[in-house]
Amino acid sequence: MTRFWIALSLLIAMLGACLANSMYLDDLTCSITSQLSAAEEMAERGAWDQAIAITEQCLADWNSHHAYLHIISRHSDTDEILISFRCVLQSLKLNEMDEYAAENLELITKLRLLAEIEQPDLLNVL
Amino acid sequence: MSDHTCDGVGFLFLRTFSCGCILFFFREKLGCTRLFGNGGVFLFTGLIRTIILYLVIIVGIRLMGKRQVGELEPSELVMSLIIADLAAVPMQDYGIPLLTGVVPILALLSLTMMLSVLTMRSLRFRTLMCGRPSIIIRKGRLEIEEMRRNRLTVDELLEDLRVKGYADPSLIYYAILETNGQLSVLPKTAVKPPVNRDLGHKVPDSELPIVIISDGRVLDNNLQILGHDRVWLDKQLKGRSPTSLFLMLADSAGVVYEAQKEGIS
Repeated sequence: MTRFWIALSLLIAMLGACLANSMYLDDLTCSITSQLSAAEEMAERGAWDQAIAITEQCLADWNSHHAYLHIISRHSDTDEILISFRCVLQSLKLNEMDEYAAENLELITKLRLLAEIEQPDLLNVL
Repeated sequence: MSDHTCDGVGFLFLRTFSCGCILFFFREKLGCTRLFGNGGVFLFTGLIRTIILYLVIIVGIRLMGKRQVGELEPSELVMSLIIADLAAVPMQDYGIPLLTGVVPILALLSLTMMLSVLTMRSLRFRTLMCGRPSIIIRKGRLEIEEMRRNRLTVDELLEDLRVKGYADPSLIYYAILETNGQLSVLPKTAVKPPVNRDLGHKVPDSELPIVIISDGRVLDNNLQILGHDRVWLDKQLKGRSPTSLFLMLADSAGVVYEAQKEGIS
């Protein structure tokens, strides 16, 4: 029965790790998306510098989790988010509100989708 | 594959791997950064992932304790095929995390281990998972209903019997279709070759031969099991070196089998 308990423990440990991963990723993306939304509000009020600072902080946050994200996510997904960040920053620096809003929305959507994929959801399973 | 070919392949692999390591770690000094992609090393990624996945599968399969495909139950065979497929995906697609292959493989191995233990412990569970052996020929009579139940055609039955050495089904007393799909055959006594007991010969049981020398290496543990020592071995070798032998088997009575290495007289 020892092997049975070892196998069961391994399964439970993997399940726990998956659930912890989905919670952590959800928290991370929620935190970044809320900051990105706050940056957009700043930009609407004309505080472009503050919007740039907040977005750069979000990018730094994202990069600090680079290794972790590469281990658990598709590399193409994380690369696309990185590209989106650069596009958003570029639009911010050019003070182009319409383009910035569109790029920001796309970035926020990609972040949310990345977290959604990891959620223990019946839709994801099916 | 002979030892020499294995050695050659091993040497080639080590040489390639060493060159790759040197190129990778000193790529900037050597000016060969273009050999490797920005942010990634495709050749290395593939190599390391293959090694990791291979080791994970080997360890897992060994822990399961099955060594031959022929011994696997159907569920275990399916599991093996799925694992092979799962391992191939991250080996070939470097954009997918390695965990995408490792986690499902570990999950499958864990589930299989659990089912295997439950199968051993519970007769009902064993019947549910593995089924029961089916008697296809009972006391010389073909059980047609059992054949239909197992979707065993006449051609398949005759083929299995021929493989076992019986072209005539009338020679068979019992034929049992095992849960792993193999057909076990018990011939009628009249056509069974006689054994010593039938002929009234009393022959002592032979001991199990144990490997004493394997590929030139003396297995001292096995020598001790047989109650012998190096002095005994030297007497059997009659002046030859143990490294000149590829295989030596012995039992408590003495040496049973010897095979010289190729190229050594």
